[in-house]
Amino acid sequence: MAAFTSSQNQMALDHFVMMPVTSQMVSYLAQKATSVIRCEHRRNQTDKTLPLTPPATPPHDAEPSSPLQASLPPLEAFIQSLVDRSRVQVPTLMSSLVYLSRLQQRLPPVAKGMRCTVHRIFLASLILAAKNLNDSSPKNKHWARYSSVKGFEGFGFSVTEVNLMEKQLLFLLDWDLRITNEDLFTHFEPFLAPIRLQQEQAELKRRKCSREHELLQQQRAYYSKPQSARPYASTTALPTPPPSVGVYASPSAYSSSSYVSDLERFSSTSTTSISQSSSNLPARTPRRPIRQARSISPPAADNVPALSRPGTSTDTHSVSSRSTSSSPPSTTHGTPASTISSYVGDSYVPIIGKDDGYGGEYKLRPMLGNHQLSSSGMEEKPAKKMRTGMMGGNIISRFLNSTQPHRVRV
Amino acid sequence: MDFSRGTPCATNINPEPLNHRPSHNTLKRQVTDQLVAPRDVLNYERPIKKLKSGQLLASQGMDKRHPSSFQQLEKLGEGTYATVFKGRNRQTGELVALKEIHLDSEEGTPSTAIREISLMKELKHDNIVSLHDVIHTENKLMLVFEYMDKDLKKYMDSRGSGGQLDYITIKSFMHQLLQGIAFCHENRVLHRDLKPQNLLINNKGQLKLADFGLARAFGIPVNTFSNEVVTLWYRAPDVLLGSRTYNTSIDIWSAGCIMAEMYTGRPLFPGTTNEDQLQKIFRIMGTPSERSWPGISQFPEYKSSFHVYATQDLRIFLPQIDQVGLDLISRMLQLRPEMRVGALEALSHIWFRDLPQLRQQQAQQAQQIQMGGQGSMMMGGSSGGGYGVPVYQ
Repeated sequence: MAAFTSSQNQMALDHFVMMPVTSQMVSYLAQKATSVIRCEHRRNQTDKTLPLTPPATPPHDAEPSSPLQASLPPLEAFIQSLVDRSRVQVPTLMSSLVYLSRLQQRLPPVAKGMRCTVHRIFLASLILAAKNLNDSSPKNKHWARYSSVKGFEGFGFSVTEVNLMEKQLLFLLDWDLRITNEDLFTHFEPFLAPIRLQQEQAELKRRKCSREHELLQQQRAYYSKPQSARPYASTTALPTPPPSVGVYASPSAYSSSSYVSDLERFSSTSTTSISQSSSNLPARTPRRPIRQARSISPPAADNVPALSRPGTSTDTHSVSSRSTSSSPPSTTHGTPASTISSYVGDSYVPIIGKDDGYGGEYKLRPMLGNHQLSSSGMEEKPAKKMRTGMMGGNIISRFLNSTQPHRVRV
Repeated sequence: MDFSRGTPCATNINPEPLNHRPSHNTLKRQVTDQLVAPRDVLNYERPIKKLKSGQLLASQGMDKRHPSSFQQLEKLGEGTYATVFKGRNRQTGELVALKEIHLDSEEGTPSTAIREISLMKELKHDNIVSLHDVIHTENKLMLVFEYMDKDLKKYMDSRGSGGQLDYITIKSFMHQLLQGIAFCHENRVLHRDLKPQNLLINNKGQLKLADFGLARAFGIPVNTFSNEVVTLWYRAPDVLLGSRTYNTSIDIWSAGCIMAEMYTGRPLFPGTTNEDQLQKIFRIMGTPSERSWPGISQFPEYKSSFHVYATQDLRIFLPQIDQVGLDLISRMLQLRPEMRVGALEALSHIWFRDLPQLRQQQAQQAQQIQMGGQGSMMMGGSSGGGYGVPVYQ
């Protein structure tokens, strides 16, 4: 993660939270929930010989192994069913990962549950995420209803059980429900990584275009000058983009044949009105369909971070200001006041402002999010030490085993 | 009602401590027994009995965790969400405020309680009321707060000058209020319900933010926000216009309203409905337009039929205020959220510059408050609104 800037992560996150729930997400949740605690395959199985530090083998509770347990739905099916019934969205659904992980850190490694324990842990995590993150969320009686799974008629939790598992998880987590951007970056990483990659490529593309704007501008200026004043020798293609500092020092990198067409793809305005088109470049890169870079070889991975520091990657102002001056990107953050209105109805609302959040500096751009905010002052939670002290065995045992898995709801 | 009759919940009480106070409800007990899994399923070496110290919830051992460790005194306030009692720690004699939250079996643990607890655990500050403990029982959740003598509303009413406060007190309270707000905002928490009833005052002249039932963490893109926040009179115009993208500036608006109220003893914008509230604001601050507030017409509740009022001089409504104080309050009461001053910036406003010199006077003032406060407590004048329940209205 250290290889990526907060702004890159933030952009990817802002994109991710708008995605629909996918089966990969459900699988990943199931996998993570399963790794929270080791579960018994069969009831009454006793394993007194278990070492104090057991290997972290994930249990395979998804496969019913005896007729007795046949009606316990596989965890993935359970999660998918919850998603379908509750219509929970990605932000809430995936934030439960944070609680699952926190719980795992707090449970002693010897903790062991029964087969439906993971189902209960997941549901409780999801409920707490929903209640903590949203100003209105389903009541527990609704969650109890959502917990039944088609094809597993005997399965489902009663509202009493749901209340209990919620209470138990609150206790086990010691009411520590805060979620920071860093938490999200960490736990969403498998999903953010590909988005980041796409965004980087799109950004490179866009930067290339803006650079070509500049180049075009310079060329026009160049050709409007007398021959003797022309400083550049032209057209030697660079194999890789130069480092960001050097970008504008070598404007001759690209041949005019490719940049014109690229420019047109990224800007609706004609290349002849250069200064205008640069300000019309898409402000919301993450929202745009992401294209593969074509005409130029993609950057080496280690070039990427340098190309999208906070302020450069999302901000068209930096692009346009760069075209005209070479001020550093991070100082060119502008917030168009008019953006407030455009996002009023947005449900995944964001984001309050920059780090201190004060006076005239609010960033009200939901899509662009608060990458500034996270880049400067996000407090990172120290890794939680396992606190065995708080967990009486009874608590865990109740949480993990408190009900028969196949109980018919009232 | 006696706390000792509360039935401890299976969640957080070990059988051992449970035994010291057997439940009256045998049925509940049976359920609890059912929930305790057989030892052999668990693969525990042995149950961990000792609770580690230094944790909020388990810090004082089981005895303190039990509701019966507090003697319940008079009721301080009541609402739909919770009831607040004055209480006394039986062991230490320390006064506390006990906020009892009824647990609805259909809802489960209310999200308001979940947030209030998780946020207040982190927000440790001189100007934020401190949460000592949480006791989760079968059918109620009990939050144990430090005891404060009264809320700002009661304090103002007890001053006998039509609710108006003196210059030094206003300045001191505003400074403390803004410090509390700044701390919340630094920790990415919106209070979302600042009003005199939620600002608690003690006999030392300290002011503390209370009732974080509506508070929210902000700054992560996974939140959804409601615009049903903040008590109407203190609700910012952008929220009234239906914004769900509001931010820290809504707390600043509330603070501005509170500052005005301390000067006059009356709420600045006492609206009756959402529309009336907007109108009362516009009547003084002027009706905004696309020109003065670009984008305003995009707000859900915006109406082109808003009556157009001219902006008035706030001084008309706050005759007692000095020029510098007027500048500060004007910066807080900006219609456009992005124009409102931030809490930190407000704290460094020149109006607070003479506060250190005034501290001496303030100390004397506090002594007088203490005497006055004791008097009113004798008359049953303590408050509970600030702990999250309205005293009246």
